[in-house]
Amino acid sequence: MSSIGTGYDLSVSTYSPDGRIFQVEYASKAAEASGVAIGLRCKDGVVLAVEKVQTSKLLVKGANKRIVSVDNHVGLAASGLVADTRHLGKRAAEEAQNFKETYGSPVGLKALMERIGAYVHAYTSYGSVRPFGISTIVGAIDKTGPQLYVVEPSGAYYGYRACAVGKGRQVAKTELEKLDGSTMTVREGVKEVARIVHLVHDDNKDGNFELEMTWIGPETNGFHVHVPEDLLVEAEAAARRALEEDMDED
Amino acid sequence: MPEAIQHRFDPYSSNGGSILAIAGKDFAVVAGDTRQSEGYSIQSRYQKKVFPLTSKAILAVNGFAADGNNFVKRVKQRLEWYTHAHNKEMPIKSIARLIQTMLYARRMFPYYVYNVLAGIEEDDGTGAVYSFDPVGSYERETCRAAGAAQSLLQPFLDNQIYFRNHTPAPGQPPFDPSTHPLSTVLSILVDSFSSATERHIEVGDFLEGYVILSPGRTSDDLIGEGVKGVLPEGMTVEEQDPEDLDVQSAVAGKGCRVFLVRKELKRD
Amino acid sequence: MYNSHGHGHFYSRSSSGEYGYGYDVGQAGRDFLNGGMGGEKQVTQQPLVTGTSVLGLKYADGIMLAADNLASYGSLARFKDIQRLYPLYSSSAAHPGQTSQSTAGAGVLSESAPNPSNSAKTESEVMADKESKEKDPKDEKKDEKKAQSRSSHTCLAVAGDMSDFQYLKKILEGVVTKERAQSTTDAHPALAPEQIYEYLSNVMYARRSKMNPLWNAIVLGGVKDGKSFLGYIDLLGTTYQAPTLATGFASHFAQPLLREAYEEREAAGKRGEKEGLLLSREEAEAVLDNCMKVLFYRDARSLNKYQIATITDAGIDISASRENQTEWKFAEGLRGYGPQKQ
Repeated sequence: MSSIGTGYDLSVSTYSPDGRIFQVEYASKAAEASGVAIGLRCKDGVVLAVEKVQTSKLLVKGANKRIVSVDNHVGLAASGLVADTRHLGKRAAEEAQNFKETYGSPVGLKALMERIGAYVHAYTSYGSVRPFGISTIVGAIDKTGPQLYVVEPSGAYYGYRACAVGKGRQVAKTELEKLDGSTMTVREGVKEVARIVHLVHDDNKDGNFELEMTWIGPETNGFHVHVPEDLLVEAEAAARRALEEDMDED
Repeated sequence: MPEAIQHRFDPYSSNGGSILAIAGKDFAVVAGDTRQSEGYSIQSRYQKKVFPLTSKAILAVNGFAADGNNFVKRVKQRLEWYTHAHNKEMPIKSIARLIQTMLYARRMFPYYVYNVLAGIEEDDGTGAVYSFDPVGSYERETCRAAGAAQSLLQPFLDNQIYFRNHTPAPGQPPFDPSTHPLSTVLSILVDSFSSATERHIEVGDFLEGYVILSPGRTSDDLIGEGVKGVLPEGMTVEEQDPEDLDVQSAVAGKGCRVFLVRKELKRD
Repeated sequence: MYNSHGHGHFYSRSSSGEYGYGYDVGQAGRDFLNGGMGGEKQVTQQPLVTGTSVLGLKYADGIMLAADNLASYGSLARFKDIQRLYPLYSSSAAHPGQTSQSTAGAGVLSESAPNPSNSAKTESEVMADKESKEKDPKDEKKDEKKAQSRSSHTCLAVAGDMSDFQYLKKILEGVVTKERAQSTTDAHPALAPEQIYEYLSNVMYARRSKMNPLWNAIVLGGVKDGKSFLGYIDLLGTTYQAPTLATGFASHFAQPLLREAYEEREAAGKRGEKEGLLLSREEAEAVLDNCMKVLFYRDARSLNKYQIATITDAGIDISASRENQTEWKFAEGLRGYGPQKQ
């Protein structure tokens, strides 16, 4: 039977004859469409980055943030539909808050991912809803140390040492595979991630972009916050230099 | 065996202090002391109980402070909604009715608050004072004292403002309570509170209030060179910028001017 | 000390007689409570494990608060290592290293929470502590500059029911965490002490209006951008601000001492004998130490072990528990103490 099963892609409550749920796959397409988002787990923390493609020159610089805080120690970045990111971020924050109120200690990332995963999965199980159009990276330092996870629109989630989602994720993943986060500080990680985002970005195809970066590490007292302006400028300058050197070699 | 003493939670308290308002022909004065107390303890020497609502209406609240503050907050919110809906300030007459409605809505769990509303009427520019009981019974008056020292202040006002127990000289017209000049009213205000401070332990620290002048009325008897020796000693007068009055200045009524008046009272 | 609430009304005054409208508001309220509306009765709690009075004092660099470490169960001194000062960090992330908790030992009532630090610290605070030790002085200077530009610090001292206090801590932590998380996506100033005060007042007033009060008296101190704030809130939703504050028993025993010290220092400043009008850090601390001593002598529900919170533009410092030198020899000769002599 043809896999383009007409009539089998209108609802998540219907499988196609060969066992697929097309709406979830379409959601993944939506998640691949936007700028790359990268997460890197280092020895002392986590770095999150988003390539924020600027759709208009009239947008205020630095506004419209794409990475959200879920709890003091948890950050969330996603590729795909911005509104879905905000919604999932808010839900995750409520789950984290609920955990803290129930158990009296900050939520561990594994427990939080179980809840986020279940929530995202629920949107693949009812005919009345649309799955999330985002691939979501969640990073944290919890009592077990730095942690990094990715949730797909299906609700499946996996732990990673480093990950990339969105447009250009393949190139980014290849670069990330060359790194060893376990021997790297977050400060060093910031520079590597900045370099990779700049490498992945295609000026000619995508136009201008802003690099949005957050981190959780010793320098932030374990809080999830934006990378300080001076470090970001330094990292981006280094990234551009590295790219130019690469071009010269070619 | 004696029954165990049941401790019931009493949701009310009384926080002392007094308020007073007097209406003139083309002005209104409203003030209160700033002492907040409970029993024999002074909680604070400076806690407001007189609040500007619009550029021509000011509300004084007295009784249970927590209820008073919450009530003022809710009245202000209703006035803001009114302003957004009608692009004008609510006239004092309507504020008075609003307050009665809000108080009566809590007939079965009342706000333990005595309200006195003072300001300028929209239609004729006369000074107005409205007084309320805690469940919303209200009337317009020329003057009203309320609070801990009401029983000291009101008879004095009855005598001085309403001319009770005065007899007009033969052939003279009957007294008119609305003809008192501003300087007289301010003297009566200050004397009232100085006396209440002497006689009532819950009154003292500072006197703070407002004078609202009708549109077009001169302020020569309130600020400027000519007021020396006319105004009560130690009283300071400061014209209020509508922007600072916590009212919607964009739609503030034209013409009314509001002055903050302050005077120190004894602290003992 | 909330036991004093029982004899709070020293002289009763009929509202009908004094206020002239012939209407007893209190009675109507009580009718309502007795099921005048629908017959449903709200059950009011009574305080069980309680903390006694707390103090607040404005001084030159900000605010100081004091509270002892006792949580009583009636007249039983049940828990003697309880911290009743609660620091709130409005945006710690924006200015790391702002707080130093030199607290030794003062724990929470329940140690069963899976908190590795075995103290009242949250996980992030522990991380903050660890980090501040590792930081080199150069970084600290940078952080300090950042803190100056956007600093807001608030601290509570809480008397009354300790379980209600723990509930309050829980909801306040929720508010602060949410606010902090939102500032990642939408930069806005940290919650000011006044704003937390307003929020707390609303919570307390709403609960009293449901006839289910949070049985506490709270002194809230804070400093934002160099401006200090000191306010009181209680189970009735009553609020007031003053440069010196004291709850319960301390409003009778300590408040006069605080006011005397505050006013004398102000007068000395006005006479030009001293710079400025406010007590110095050392003077303020000495005044609070003395007040805590007086309270320990006279308040049977107090403990000679207490902490002082110092809130300044630079942050919140909660002192280690300390005690005063006391002398009880005089009691020997008192009837009712020691051996009885007719």
